[in-house]
Amino acid sequence: MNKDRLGQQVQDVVQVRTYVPESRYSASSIEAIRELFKEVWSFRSHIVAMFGSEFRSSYRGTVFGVFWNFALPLVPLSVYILLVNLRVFPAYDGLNPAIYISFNVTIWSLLTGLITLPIMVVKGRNKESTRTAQPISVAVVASFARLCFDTFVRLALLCVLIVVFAQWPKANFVMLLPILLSGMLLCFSLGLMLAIFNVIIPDVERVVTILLQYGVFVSGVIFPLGGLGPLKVLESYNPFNVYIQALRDDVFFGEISNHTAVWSWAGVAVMLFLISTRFFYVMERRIRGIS
Amino acid sequence: MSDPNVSDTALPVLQVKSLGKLYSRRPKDTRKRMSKVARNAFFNVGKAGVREIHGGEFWAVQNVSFDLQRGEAIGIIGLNGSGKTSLLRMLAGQILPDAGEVTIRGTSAAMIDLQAGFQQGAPGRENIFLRAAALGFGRKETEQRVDEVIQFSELGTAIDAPLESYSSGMRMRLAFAVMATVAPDVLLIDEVLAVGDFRFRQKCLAKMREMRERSAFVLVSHSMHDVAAFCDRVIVLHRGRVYFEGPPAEAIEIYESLDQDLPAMDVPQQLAKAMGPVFENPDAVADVAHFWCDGDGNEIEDVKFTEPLRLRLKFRSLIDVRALSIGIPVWSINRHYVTGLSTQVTSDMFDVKAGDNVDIMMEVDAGFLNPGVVKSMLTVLDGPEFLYRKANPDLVIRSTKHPTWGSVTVPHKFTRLDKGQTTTMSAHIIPLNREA
Repeated sequence: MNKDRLGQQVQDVVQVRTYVPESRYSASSIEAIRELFKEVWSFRSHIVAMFGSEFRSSYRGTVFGVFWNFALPLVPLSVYILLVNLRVFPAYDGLNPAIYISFNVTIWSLLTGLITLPIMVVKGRNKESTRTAQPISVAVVASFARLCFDTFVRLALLCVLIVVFAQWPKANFVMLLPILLSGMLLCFSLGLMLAIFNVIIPDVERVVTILLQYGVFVSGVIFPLGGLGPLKVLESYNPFNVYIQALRDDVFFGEISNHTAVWSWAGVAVMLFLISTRFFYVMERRIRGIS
Repeated sequence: MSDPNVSDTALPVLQVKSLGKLYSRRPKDTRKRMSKVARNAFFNVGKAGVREIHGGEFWAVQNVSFDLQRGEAIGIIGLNGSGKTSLLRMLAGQILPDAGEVTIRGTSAAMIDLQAGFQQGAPGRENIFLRAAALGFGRKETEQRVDEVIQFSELGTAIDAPLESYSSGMRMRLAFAVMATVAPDVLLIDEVLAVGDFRFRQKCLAKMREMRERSAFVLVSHSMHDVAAFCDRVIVLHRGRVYFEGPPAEAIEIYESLDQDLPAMDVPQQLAKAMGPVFENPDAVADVAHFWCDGDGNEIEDVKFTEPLRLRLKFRSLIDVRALSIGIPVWSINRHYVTGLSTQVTSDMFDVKAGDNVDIMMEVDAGFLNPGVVKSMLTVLDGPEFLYRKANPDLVIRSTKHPTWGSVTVPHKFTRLDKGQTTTMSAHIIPLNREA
């Protein structure tokens, strides 16, 4: 019989589980990532079922049915596109304003969703989690399925706009994927960490909500930071702006202009990911039931 | 080197060692402790576990230890707030202990909350897959069992209705049916069975008996009948601690004493209260001796169920007793008043004069009082006046192969009326002395 550092014993014949106060405490970041991945993988059918069930329950009983699941993610975009049609926004970076804003809002919603969803899920399911052995990480991942769906719906609209306005992308996919992943990693890591802190200090969620509501205006989502005078300094220090700008440059122009800022934040993202996954892994069962 | 297969079967499937869980009455204290834990976890310093408790913190579960072998069922009973569900949740791995250790060898499933793992808006059929997935079953595996689950749950066409339209009993049926089909090594069942109707509860218990060959059970219940019928041993939890661990009958008695808000470990006191006051008139009787005895009048402490009971009473009367009356009220160990044995029933008359050394033997035919401990009093009266009233020594009636139910066995018979048979079969034993 082997006993690993996580306090779980594994035997070929019978699976042996041990629960002690020190459970998971001595886990390293790599072990935590591996165990969280295993946890999520072992509950993969539950994640699929949860997503399917929540997807259906979100429109169950409505007259228009599944239409709402496609329409609601487009509401924020449609508001901005309406403003564009009213000629509120000029063209930035040589892009059609509708495409500029649709792209930015899509990325912004994806990145902020990775922060807010863990906070909401951990808070919402924390009480229920004391009644089930199902890890909270599973519920967090299941909620991302909905975020992915919403993002794909928004991307579909973006594709339509690209075709309509004939603004053909010149995406450099070699760079695109690492930039997108590092941005998602950074936000996901922040989300995991803040989700735990929010259970202990409930003010965290409110502070995050306020910051993100202001943040949309200082992250180059609606207009570039260059035109905001002293706030221009945030161009490199606001990771949302850095990632949105880099992804936009990469997709529509095939190259990015803010290499230093992007890769610096990518380094921060990796560091934060290592810290936050371990932190989440250690704390997840300790915060259960705190309301 | 030992064979791991052998050690697997020899080791308990569930081991609980000095388990403890700390709660706080004030959220402030919980947050304070969690802040410290979070700081230590974040910087990877310090240790988990509790060294000291502060403010409104208290041990909801403390120092609980037990082992459970495959095929065994242990009951956990206790008053509300005694820590039963917290203990069960720690066993299920739903919450971490703050002290001690839980080891589970094999798979486990918990039926602690009927809401958990279910989607309210989804139909029952879809929830079968969700629940099974939470227990580690893939969709294909569940598909193979889904008909069996629906059949066991007896939900019929309701299986396609949304779960939010289900009653709690229907939810319990669904949850139990999924769990019974999964058949894990350790089953942890909270009070949830109570919401089912009597017939389905019996079906669940029958299914659990069927599963006992390969599974071990931890059953938390307020139904003493279920606990007594199903569990091999029972733990009484009181204020988070193991108050008693032992056979179900004794555990239930102790639980009931707690339930009536009587002081701790006071069953003998309750019994004494039920048996009433003791009294002796030293001016009327002296040198009183009374004890259970054999046919020769020698004192005994136990007797077989198939043997007659005899009580011997000796005293010296200091007065003329005009209307001697002897009574022996009998109680079971759980304070139930079983019967009374009295000269008033048998119309036995004794003439007693002052200075007489009285020696009387009372005899009960064999097979009336069922196996157990007989608690009794001896009362000696002169008309309505008590001369003496004290407890007899305990008598243990030992069981035999003869089946018994309840506290007493009354003579009875069954007769075939349809064929005019006059031959009857007596269900009561025929003691040797009566045969003679």
